[in-house]
Amino acid sequence: MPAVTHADLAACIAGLPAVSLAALKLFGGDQPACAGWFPTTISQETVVQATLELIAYGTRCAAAAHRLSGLRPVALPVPIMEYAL
Amino acid sequence: MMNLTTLLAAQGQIASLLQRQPVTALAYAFSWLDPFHLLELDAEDGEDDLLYFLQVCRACFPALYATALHALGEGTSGDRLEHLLLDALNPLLPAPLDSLEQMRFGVPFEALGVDSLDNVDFADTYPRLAPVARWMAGDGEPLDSDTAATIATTLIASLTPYGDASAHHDLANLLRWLAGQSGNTLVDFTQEDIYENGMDLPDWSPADLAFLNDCQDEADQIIESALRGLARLETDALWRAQFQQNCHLIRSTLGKKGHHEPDLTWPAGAVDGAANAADPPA
Repeated sequence: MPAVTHADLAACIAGLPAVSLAALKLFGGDQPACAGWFPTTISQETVVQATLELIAYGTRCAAAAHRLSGLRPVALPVPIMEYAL
Repeated sequence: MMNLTTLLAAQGQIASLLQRQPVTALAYAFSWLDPFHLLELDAEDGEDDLLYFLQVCRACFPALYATALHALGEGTSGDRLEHLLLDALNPLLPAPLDSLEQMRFGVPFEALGVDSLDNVDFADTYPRLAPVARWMAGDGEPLDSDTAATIATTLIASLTPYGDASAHHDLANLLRWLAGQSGNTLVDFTQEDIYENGMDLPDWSPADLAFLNDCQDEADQIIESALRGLARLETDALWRAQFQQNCHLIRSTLGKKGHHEPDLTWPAGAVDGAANAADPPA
């Protein structure tokens, strides 16, 4: 089995498709360029829905990070030299 | 020298750059729509009521949190913002808030309990309940709260078999309210009791809020039922007479050796003049 490097692992994760969030779409696409830091011409209903989705996404990510931080060491069948004991 | 036009252009360029990479775009979106995710503010110890409100709403009412941030982004502030937020928040609470500042005292609720019968101001404080206490006492001395509770317990036991949809259920709830025996804290205790006895009050969390909303709804239903029972005793001579008779029977057995439960009977239903001495449904 070929060895996997830390860079390979990072590239694998970085290659994952970006999550589709309404909040990210509010910046670009057909939205008019905003004069300030944030868009101001978007309806309240759209902003609220995007916020709810973003909060839910942030909560899921925080929960996943919490679970990962508590993982026990496991024996990998794939050798990654940077993490060799 | 850098002028305003240059500054605005720089702002636009920075914003544009931030949106090009997924990670920075995501951070940018959070800073706009969910800044509390990044800031991890601890508004608990601060003095800013709006920050505290936003922190609570993010946990318990995310849509209201988003609405509040949107209103802030549009420049709404001061009294108008507070009215806007309270109008949206109050229907979601067990009891309404008068100001955002009150959020710091915890989830608002309305305790509906009555003071002890031993309270010298009972008759003045509860002019409609005082006659019920007198009917329970009969011709003797006013009842102390322990004796009243004993009588109420026996009466409730005799009324319960008639079922939740009966007039008897309303009278049982009146007695539970009067004697603090409903099992619902908001019915059995006054607001003062709850604060002075050091009871653990619910936190601003979705679970505690849901629990307190359910508790308040149940309390409101019990009191509504109890008031129907009270109105029946006030207006229906047959029910009032039977109530007094049953109280007399219970009092006559109190403290006697070989105490046994008296055989209590109640009018059959809610209609005036209905047949007396009806047995509860099987």
